Amino acid sequence: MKRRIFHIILPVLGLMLFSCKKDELPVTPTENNPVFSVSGKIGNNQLDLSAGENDFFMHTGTFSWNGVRQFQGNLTSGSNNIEMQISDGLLDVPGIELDPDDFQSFSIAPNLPGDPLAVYSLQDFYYSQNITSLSWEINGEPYSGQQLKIFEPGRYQLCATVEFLNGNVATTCNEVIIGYQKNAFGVLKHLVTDNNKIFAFIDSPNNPIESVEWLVNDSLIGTGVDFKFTPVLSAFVLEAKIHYENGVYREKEVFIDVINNNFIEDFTVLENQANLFWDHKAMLKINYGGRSYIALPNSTGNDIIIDDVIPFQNNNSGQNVSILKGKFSGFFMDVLNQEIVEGDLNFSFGIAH
Amino acid sequence: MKLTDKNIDQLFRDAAQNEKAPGYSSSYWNEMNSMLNERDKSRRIYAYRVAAGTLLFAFLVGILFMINNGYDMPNKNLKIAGAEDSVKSLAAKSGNSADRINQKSNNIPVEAEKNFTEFENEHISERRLSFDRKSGLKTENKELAGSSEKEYAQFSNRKSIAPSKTENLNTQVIMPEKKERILNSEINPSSGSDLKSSDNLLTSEQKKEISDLNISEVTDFSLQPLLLNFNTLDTEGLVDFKEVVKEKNLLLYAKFSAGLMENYETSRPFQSGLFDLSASVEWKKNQLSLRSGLGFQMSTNADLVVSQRAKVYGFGVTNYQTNLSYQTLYDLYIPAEFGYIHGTTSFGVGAQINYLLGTKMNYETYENKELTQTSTYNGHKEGLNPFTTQGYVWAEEKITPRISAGIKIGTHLSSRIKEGKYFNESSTTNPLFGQLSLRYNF
Repeated sequence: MKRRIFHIILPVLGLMLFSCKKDELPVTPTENNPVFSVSGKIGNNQLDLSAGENDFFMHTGTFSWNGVRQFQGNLTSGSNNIEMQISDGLLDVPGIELDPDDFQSFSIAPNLPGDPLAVYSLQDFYYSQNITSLSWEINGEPYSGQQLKIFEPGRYQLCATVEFLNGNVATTCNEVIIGYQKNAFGVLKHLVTDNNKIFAFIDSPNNPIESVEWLVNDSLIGTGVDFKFTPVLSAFVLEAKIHYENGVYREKEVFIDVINNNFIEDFTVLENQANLFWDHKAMLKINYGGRSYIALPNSTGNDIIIDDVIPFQNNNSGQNVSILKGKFSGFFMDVLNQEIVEGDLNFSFGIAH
Repeated sequence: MKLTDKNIDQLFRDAAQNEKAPGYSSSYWNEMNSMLNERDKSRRIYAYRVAAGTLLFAFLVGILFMINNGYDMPNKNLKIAGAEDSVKSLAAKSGNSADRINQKSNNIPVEAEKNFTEFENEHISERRLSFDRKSGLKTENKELAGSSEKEYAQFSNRKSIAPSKTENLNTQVIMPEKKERILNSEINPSSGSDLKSSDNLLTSEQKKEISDLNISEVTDFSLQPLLLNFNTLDTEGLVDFKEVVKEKNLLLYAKFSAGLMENYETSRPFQSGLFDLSASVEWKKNQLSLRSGLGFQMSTNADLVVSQRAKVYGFGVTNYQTNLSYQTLYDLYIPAEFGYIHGTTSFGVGAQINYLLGTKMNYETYENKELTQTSTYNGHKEGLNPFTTQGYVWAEEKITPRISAGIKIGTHLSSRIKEGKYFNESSTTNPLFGQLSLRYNF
């Protein structure tokens, strides 16, 4: 009898043994439909492209174009690709990151004009009569010629090296923002009093200033919207770090030679020559079927309409990627023959930000 | 252009470069799946055919065996092969013997001869009736028809003392004067006594005399053929009724089986192991047996692979494949066996239903065919049917009253793989197996 009980208990024990808690299996990914796709028509070409099909891959990333961050998505397979690029904006407001969720549309960025967006020349300097030569450096690279022409929008670090009549040489550097909106406008100005005191201030009639840090030859000497001081050196570089009340932050510097009346004024004012802006504008390029198209701006309703923005994953660089679902109906230019064709696209596109 | 080897090679290269690489299409998977399923289906059909053929073969062999050994069957409807013939030939030979007695044995007194003839006829007929009773054949002999079980037992005893009884007969013949006396006084048919009572009627002195007789003295005696015929009666296959009466109908036993099985993944034999431990009850009726019980089965190194694939779109597409490679499978099972017992040998067919208790499994994840993760898990049953069945033929040979050795050959009748979320990645779904078993009767 005991044996019989044993033979009954044995399997039951086994059953209990195998009924113990077990480790959960990793979750297997779920099948889905293509996430990124473009379908529609451009000219006579019918498009129906999806990342994951026919070797199309949705590349996303950001890159700097003339010092301005660009947010890009590129659905590509071999020589065929559809590229969307959105420029950053609010360049003079630090700490602002592009959030596609804030946008219901993106305008098509202006085509680059044939004329320069900004021109910096000797004649633009108020004390040009005291200057014998002027040379430029743009983003650390020397620029040949006294007249500096900037054709592309961007944020540039410009340095002007000036030789005065007395042979003195001075250099000042300023950040200039070309082709983008400035959200505050101010000019660093100074006055030299009879007793060689310096009165410096920011001329900003429309944008209140919160604070200014004043530096002489990179050394902080004081703060305040206006600043009056007696310079220790006769020639120096005066720099102002300006905090506007609306969050704009700009740095400007000038050269002051009190004894010889040699000056290099705030040449950032010249950044406002262009009236084309690339802030949060989009470029849309299509290479398909051996043809290259670029979306044309300035047409009425020629905007990329965003219906929905869905956060996706991080790309390989760890950047956030959002899926922009929307449509674009407008005109494209066939780059090869300058022919204007109509395009009508629905898309679900990835943009890194 | 002249087509040199180089040109031809270039032609092919150009063609290959211009040709677009075949793109992935989910329809390929579907096609492949359907092909695999078709292959599994045909394998399954093959397995069923093998199982059905085996069962039919076992059934036919069993029937033939039963027919050929019918004499040993206590079943009323079955004849005892050979026994009746022996009796008939015995009767015939006894007639011949009587002739021979008349012709050759002139030294035997007529009265003794007559008595012997009567004895011979009556006892031969009695033996026949006895055998008939033993075999279950109907008899018209009213006296014997109502015999008690005790008589059966005495017949069994007779079987065991058959040689000495023959000696008795020899003795009776060899010693004419004693034969006459014995025939007249102890085995006189008119007394209504039968052969068994004649044993009891012998005095101890007579028995001693009989036992002192030398068997070689028989050689020139005319009844030798008759006696030889008795001697040569095949009693080998006769059932010891005493034991039959004592033998239990229900028997509890434990069985351990170990063997090899086809590997699921490679379909190669001898790559996987199959081990059983069971406790069962056997119910015997005549020479048929039914068995059932409860067992624990372990399949080792099974390599039963089920997979899950997912085509996941994102920036591109990633083809995920998750392989669950079940290495060890633990089943609780209930067997049902039907068998035929012939002497110490028994054989039959069986089937069992398994309940999957647990597993040991290797988990592998591939992303675009690159192995990205591997680990081991216990207790999972994903992609597997909880219940499966096996069918087999078996044979056992009793080594000792308690221990039997056996062999079992079979196949899985139903697939372990539950198609649906997971699909089969194994070569076979119903592997064949063979096992050797050791049984211990309690």
